Amino acid sequence: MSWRKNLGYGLGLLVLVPAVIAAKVLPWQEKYQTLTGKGGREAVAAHGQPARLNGMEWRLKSITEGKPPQEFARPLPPRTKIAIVLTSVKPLTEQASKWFGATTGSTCKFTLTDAAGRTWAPSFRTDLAPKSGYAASCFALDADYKPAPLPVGKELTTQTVFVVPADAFTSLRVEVRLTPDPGTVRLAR
Amino acid sequence: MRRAIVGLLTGALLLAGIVGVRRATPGVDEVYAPIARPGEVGEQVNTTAFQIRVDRVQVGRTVRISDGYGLVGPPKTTAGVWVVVSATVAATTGALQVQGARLRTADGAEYLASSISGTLDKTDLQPGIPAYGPILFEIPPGRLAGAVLSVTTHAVKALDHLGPAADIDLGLSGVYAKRLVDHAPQSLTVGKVREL
Repeated sequence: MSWRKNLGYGLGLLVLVPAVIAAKVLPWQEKYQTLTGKGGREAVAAHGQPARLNGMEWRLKSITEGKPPQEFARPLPPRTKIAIVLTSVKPLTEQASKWFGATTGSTCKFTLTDAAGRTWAPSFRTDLAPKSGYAASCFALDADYKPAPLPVGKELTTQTVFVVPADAFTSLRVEVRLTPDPGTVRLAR
Repeated sequence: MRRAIVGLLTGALLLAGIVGVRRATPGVDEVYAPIARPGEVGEQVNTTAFQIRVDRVQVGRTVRISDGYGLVGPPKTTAGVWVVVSATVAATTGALQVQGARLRTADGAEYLASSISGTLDKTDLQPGIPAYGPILFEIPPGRLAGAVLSVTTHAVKALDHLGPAADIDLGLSGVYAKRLVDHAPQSLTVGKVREL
């Protein structure tokens, strides 16, 4: 067998093996991303800079320390602080505009992460931050409080509240996990 | 003739090998089982997702849940006995619940933690904010001896494939378990979860 023929077989294997692996793995990729909340595209923004993903522009406005709850309210866990996070998002495309009004499938999940890689979910307590006119999640509502598309270029500000260990407060950054087109926005402070 | 015998023996050996390998191959449950770290009462067990230390094991005929203000709820009854495991748990890197708390008895039976709310297994745990509280189980009194506390992050086993787990020997020898059951108080009051 000549070396040319061997080369042909070799090249054939080089094409076939990755194709077979891809055919096996790719169908599971979406399930993995849905189940674990990991994977997909990422957009990372440095301090003061916006991040663009899926036709949306995300910006971290502030992370401020909230006041401890009143005397008779349920106390905070020891050695913790309240982090009040303001983020803004605006659609840059028509498709992204519709994402805000979708009744199924469109979700955004906010988390805080510190320099050590620890991650916190928002608190369900409503007494940890003063009432504001900001949205609690990234949904635009019409006059009847039903989800409605957010016009292109219009900004939606979201307020989320977290309870984090005091030692994590200074190194916090925000992450927003988006579905159904999976992706993660990372916003540095 | 000799070659035929050698051939038959070789074939038989290969067949036995195939049967042996098939029998030794672990099943799906074993291959995908959570990765459990062992421990015992009073010892901190570190998994990749959480840390847990069992501080106390008590047994009672009924339990009453006390809230943070000193109010005690009505007694909760059971056909068996209540096993109250008091533990401290801390999430390591991400928010979670230790919903998959089970009491595995010596005969292999598993009892999922009671559905009573406000217990440690139904508490949101955030990194750096450990919590202490009870996990409640109802089991037949004769099955306490040799019970092991198995803790994972999901109540549905299929979601715990290759996930973090802790298997904690509760030190319940036959004699000790019998003494706990025989001297179980009619009513055991347990506190709610508190963050430390």
